[in-house]
Amino acid sequence: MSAAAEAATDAALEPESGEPALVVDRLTTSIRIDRRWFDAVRDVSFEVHRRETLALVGESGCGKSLTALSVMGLLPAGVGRVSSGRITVDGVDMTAASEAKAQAMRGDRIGMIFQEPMTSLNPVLPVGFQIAESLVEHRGLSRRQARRRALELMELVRIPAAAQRLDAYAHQFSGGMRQRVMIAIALACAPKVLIADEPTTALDVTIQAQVLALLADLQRKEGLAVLLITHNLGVVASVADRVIVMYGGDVVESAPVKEFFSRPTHPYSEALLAAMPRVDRSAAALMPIPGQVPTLPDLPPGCRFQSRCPLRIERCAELPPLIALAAAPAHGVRCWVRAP
Amino acid sequence: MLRFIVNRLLLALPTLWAVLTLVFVLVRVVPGDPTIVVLGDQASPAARAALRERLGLNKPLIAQYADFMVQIAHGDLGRSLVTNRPITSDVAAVLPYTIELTLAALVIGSLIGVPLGVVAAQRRDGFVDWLARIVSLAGLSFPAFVSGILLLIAFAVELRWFPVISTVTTTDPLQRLRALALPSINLGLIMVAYVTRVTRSGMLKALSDDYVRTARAKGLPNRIVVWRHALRNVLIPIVTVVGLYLGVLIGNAVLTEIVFNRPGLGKLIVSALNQRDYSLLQGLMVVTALAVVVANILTDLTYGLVDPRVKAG
Amino acid sequence: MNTAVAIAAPSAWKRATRSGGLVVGLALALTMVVIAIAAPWIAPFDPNEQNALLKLEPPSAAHLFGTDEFGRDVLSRVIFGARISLFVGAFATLAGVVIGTIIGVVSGYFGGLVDRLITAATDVLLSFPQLIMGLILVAVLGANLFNLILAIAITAVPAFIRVARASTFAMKERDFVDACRALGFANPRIMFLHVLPNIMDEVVVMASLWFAAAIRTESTLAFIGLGVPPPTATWGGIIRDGFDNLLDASWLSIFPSLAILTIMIALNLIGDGLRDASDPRAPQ
Repeated sequence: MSAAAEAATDAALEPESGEPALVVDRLTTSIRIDRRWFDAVRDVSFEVHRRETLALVGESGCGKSLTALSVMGLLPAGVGRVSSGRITVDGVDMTAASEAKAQAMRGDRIGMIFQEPMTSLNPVLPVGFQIAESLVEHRGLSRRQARRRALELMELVRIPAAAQRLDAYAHQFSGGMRQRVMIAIALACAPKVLIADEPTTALDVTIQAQVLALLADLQRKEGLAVLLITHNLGVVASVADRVIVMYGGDVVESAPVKEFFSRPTHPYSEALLAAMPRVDRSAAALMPIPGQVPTLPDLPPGCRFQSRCPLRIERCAELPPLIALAAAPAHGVRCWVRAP
Repeated sequence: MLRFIVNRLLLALPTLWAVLTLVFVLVRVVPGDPTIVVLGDQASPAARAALRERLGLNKPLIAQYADFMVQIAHGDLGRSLVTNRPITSDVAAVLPYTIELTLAALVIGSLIGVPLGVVAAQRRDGFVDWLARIVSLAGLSFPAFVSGILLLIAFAVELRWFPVISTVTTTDPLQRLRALALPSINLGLIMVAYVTRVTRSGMLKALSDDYVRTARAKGLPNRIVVWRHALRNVLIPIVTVVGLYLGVLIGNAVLTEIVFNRPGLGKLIVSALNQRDYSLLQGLMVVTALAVVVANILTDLTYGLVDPRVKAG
Repeated sequence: MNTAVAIAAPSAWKRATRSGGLVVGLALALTMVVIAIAAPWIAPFDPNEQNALLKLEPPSAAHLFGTDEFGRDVLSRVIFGARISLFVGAFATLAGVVIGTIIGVVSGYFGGLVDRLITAATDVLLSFPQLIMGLILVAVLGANLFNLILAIAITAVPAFIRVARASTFAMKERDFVDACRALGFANPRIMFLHVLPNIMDEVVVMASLWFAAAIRTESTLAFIGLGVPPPTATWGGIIRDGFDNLLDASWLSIFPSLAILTIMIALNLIGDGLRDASDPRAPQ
């Protein structure tokens, strides 16, 4: 590629400036256990621009999936609710919108793919039909037109012999292929935002790489803003532009990816990186983080990582604010010790 | 699809053989002398001997079994001991009415049970849910003859909406429907009970399944999510349950015919019992056995329609 | 929801008593059992005592449920009818449970060819209409109390074989059977001291539902004329007597029907309540 073409491609790879496609502003989501409501996601804020991938990282139970469901408006009624905050998708305030408006947005301007492609696809409906549905619903296409577009989408996500498999069923595809179908479904109406909740966790390692590459490619072509939820730091390192680390419902660190990996600042982030098994270290050097995430009713006030933090001080009983580091303004940390 | 059908038919043969053997065993291998059962203990030894000969009871059991199977393979159900008419023609005359009743009950059961179950599942502990639970409890707790009699008392005797004894064989469609109404509601009530239950529990599970989450994430309106995505999957357990209880349905159809005095297998069974018509009873058992096997085949075929994994895999 | 949030599940007993249905069912069933046992003392008349002067009397102060075509007091006959239905139902179910469960556990535990044969036979037996099978058995054997119990028990056995076998299979999947073997326990000991207690809750649910089915079969057979022979009072028999007089003497049909309905509702509520209580995933 010539220098000019490379420069042009690079420019195309940069996150777009201008209005972010997804803005989450001070989101608090509560869930109900046995009649009481607990804040499972606390005061979370972030934005994702087009052509940018933001990774949301944390252990199970830290609230990352709940955040995603809150953004989509898919919290199970009666059990979960958005208690405060604002979610803006492509300029539209989702939190203030009526259910009809939110439904219109879902699948059209914001799409989501999930962790388990087998159970996330309807086993008794043909795959092509499932892809075509949102086109019929949101774009008013006829069945035939939608079907043609579904075929194009299947080819876009690189499903081989797509024409023959348009009427196949989910059980006739392998895991990686099913996830591609999920991607086709999510991208059918060309949404501005894509949420990917652990899209590769259930897949073989080799397939993981293919699916991630596909996602990156589609992001570039379609100009997607991607919110990637994962607990796998390796995935973060290879595809994300920015990282947010969550623990116990709080954002504890937020930084561009390179910055994060070269200077992880929050004690939890450090521990996460140290706990990752690495090929160049022996198994004896494995350092699990002691303790477990406390259950929701047992979470302490103040910093939620207290009980497992080696640097804990008295002040940690009070919740620290998220503060930008002096040396790197794009890097925020929530810790009295590391970011006083 | 054709291969699937042929497959199922072939698989049905051993089942058919087994069920026919069951009938043979039920009717024959019992303690006591069947001639006494048929003729009463006052009968003369000569009459009993003649009957034994006629029923082939003097042959060894294996020979009787072979005769029995061969006869059925030829489509011959034997002759009535009382009327000496071929049983096959008697059965053929009344079978359409029994089938008519059973189908009507299936239709009523599904048309009421499925929507009831779907709505009940969506609003747990709401009015419809409560109604659904009462209806299914009622359907399960009323023996078919009790509900039949109560229906008769309520609608035919007291309210006089329907005739108590109706001419079922009329060709006038309106009269026919009128005659069909109460019996099919009676039989349908049991179907409604089963169908409502399985639909409700199936929908509760389906609505919490991942593909429903995907459907909602696509922004599909609730009615499409419920009726197209969720219910399509619940059809599988519904067919399973209907298939499981087809035996019950057939038994209760017979009973309903007795209560409502409709022509059908029920009446034949009653007269066979009253007149001690041993041969007719056996023939009717064979018909019932065949009905069960056919019903099971139809259930399996319906699976092929409803579950794509069955057809292809 | 897939969030890893610990939710404490209430104990089985709490769930059971929270279910109003179970409590109501037990109360109703117990009441009927008491009435049946106390029949000779609480029935106002001898159930078989005929009175030519009081034929087909509608309900009155003296005869709360009216009289039948022989002048017999229907209330007393219904009370005594409870004895037959409950007795037949209980013993038939018990026989079915014991025989079916033992066969089912053994079959499921050892597996192999015998298990496959038993399963095939069970499937065939279960597909045949239970009512018709009971009908033919009683018709051929002769209608009396013992044969009724026998016939109904025979129809119940396959159902319990299936339940016990399926549960035993599920138990085998769980490692504790292997653990028992590793400890050197003999097979019968494993089957009856370890597997059996663990499958009992499913068997009990099935048993209460089958108790209802047994009573339904008994009363249906009595209605057809294959019940305990007259003059013994049975619910189905009273309804049969009343069937010819449906237009004029509907009380003959209504009261025994209500009795049947009551016990069946009670047993179904119990069965459902037990099932909900033993299923930890049943929503609160």
